[in-house]
Amino acid sequence: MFNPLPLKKYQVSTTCILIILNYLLYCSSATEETCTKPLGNSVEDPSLIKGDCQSSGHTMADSKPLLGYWNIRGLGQTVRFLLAYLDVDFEEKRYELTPELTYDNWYADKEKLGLDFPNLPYLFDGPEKITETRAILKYLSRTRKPELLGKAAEIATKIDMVDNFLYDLYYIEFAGAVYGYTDELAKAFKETAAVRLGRLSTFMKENEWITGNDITYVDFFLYECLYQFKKFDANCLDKFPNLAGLITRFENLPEIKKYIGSPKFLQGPITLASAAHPL
Amino acid sequence: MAESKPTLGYWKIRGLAQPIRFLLTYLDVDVNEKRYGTFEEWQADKLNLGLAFPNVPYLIDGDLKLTESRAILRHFARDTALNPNTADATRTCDMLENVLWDIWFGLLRYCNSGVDPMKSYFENEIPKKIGYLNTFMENKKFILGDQISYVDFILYEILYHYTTYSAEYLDKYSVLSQYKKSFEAIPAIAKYISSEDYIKGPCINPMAKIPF
Repeated sequence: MFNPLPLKKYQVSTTCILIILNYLLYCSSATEETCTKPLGNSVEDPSLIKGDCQSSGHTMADSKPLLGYWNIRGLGQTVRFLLAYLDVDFEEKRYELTPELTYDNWYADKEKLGLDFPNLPYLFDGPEKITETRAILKYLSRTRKPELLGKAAEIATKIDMVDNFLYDLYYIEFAGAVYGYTDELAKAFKETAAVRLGRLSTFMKENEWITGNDITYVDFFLYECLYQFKKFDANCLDKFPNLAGLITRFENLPEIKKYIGSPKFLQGPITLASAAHPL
Repeated sequence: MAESKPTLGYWKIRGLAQPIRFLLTYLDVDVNEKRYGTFEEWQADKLNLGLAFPNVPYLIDGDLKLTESRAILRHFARDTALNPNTADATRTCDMLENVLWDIWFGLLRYCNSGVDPMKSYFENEIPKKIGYLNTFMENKKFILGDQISYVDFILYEILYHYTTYSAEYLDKYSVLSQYKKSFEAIPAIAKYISSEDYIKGPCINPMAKIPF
């Protein structure tokens, strides 16, 4: 990804500084946020939310996995979809920004959860405590449905390549555009996305999923990326019918369709309210 | 008939390819390296190599045409002693791979741009993450404890980058400081470091706002 090009691309106007800093903090979820009251008004099934925000006391005796993340789609949505696909009955702790749009809500929990590298999302599963979105996706795949990691080494390698390629597009280009929105950044994202989505489309060919005809965990990441990109730029997939087809195919997977129709499902928002261009 | 060697393409810098170079040396895997000195040299090749996602570093090995440095690293590590072979170890490697990437890009993006917001992020958030890492590595020889794995090659290069950027950067992180020295003393690593092939620097693009 690192590419010694002319650096114009990385220069942002000073007015975006705080906004983009917010995005970087979001991406790393390094900031902490005190949880507000139970998030009853945004989640139809409050029994899913584990206790109040002061309690980080998820114990090994609790049989259900616990996913902690912001009350948005963001990166956590990929994990939610995978858990649903795997038919895992899971609980969630959904963090909110404060009314002042600070991250104080996560801080109350951050250092108290026994995480080696405190961050959002986090997953508790029995005795295991895991952070880093892709590590969580791989862990869930490995423990519940290993073929999601690729049925052969060749597929696993393709997954790695697509995973990292998408990561840069999402975290650097897309998140930069929505969190630090300027016309310049938006345009830059649209142009970059046009090229990179084109490459993904070519790579996918006639396959049902990105690495072939078997779904893998990276299809979950890809789906969520495509969904979010379309919210930002409704026409971004017009030239890539196979990618648009992947969206439809994913949403029609029985477990996914059921999850989307369930009260647990979080339709939106995509970003934190502190984003310059909230979605 | 002699098999042709794989080709690893990257810039004439350490950058993201350096962990791969160290790993190949450690595993005693022979590759050809194509080291690009200018943007124009790379542009001439970029769309002509059959890469699905043209970028450097790339690996071409017969029909295999791979990009993304982490994918290349994991590809070489697979089925070797550098691959985690238990569920716990795999989980740890996956998590650390991502944590380390965050830490690395905190420095890279700051030095590329030189300004906020990358600057604030680097100054305020990165030290916290390195603190967690330093704590995590206490009483461990390698990330997995006694066993070296491919993620250690990423960790080492990050520490080299940070101390090249600022020689005193690791002074506050004694565990990481010691780790760096120990890694350099691994015989295969030490031998490579003293070889002609070895790139001492630069770490990043010489055109960066804050080159090092």
